[in-house]
Amino acid sequence: MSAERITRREMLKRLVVAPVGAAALATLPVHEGSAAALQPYYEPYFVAVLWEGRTRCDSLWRSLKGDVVAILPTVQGTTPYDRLYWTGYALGRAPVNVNMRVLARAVDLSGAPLGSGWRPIGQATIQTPPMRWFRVEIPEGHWDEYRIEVRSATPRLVYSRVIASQGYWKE
Amino acid sequence: MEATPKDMLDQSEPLAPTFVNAASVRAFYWTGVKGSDAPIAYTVRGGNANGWQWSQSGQIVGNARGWFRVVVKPPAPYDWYRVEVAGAPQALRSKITGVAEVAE
Repeated sequence: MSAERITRREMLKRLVVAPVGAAALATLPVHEGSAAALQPYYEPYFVAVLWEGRTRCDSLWRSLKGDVVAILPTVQGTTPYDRLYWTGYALGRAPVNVNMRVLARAVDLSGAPLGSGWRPIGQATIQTPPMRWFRVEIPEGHWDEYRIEVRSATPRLVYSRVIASQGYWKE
Repeated sequence: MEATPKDMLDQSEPLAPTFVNAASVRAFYWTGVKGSDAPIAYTVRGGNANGWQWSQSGQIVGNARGWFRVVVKPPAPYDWYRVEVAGAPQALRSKITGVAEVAE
């Protein structure tokens, strides 16, 4: 028996990979409802960054991804998450006055929405001095997909991220 | 869905569970889309092979093609659950997600 020195990351990889055989997996009925089902669960909570980037806001309701196509989600695979948070800031010297709204829907095992349209979850107006961070907590978790839309009468560039958490902080 | 109460698997036998092995689940999020304007009466029962020990009833209201969401938080863990619906005939498309931890 020989010893070798490995990193913690390497050890975790081996622990995860080693016991799982391809033959055993092939015999299991696996139904993945969404990509999020593949994500590991860490105790006591798990936080994921679902989206991060820049949004050019104008007078149209746009997804954080920039599109105005109402059927497209901003984030997907959010079924396991209890809470979503949207944090960011807007470039520019003028005070920030950005409207935002959150829509949600459920999808079937193949990823198709159960119905047309979205369920409105909430809306808000982000009003901050220039270059100040904001944070919005999205109230209803466990929907499969969310569309987060923004608009601003004055064109603005918003840098933001959407994070999600499952499990609860032990306080 | 029709006037006679049936569960989500279309079972009218009142003792038949809709799903089992759910003792680790602390909350259910039932989301979906209604097929018509008519309200839907629902009952969620929790129990085990010896019978139902808990139930929660309510009504899902909303327009045709409108989204709904029902949050069910049983007071104790149960192995079996039965989700029953009744009302004017309509198609109901929905899913139930169970989670092992709840915030409130």
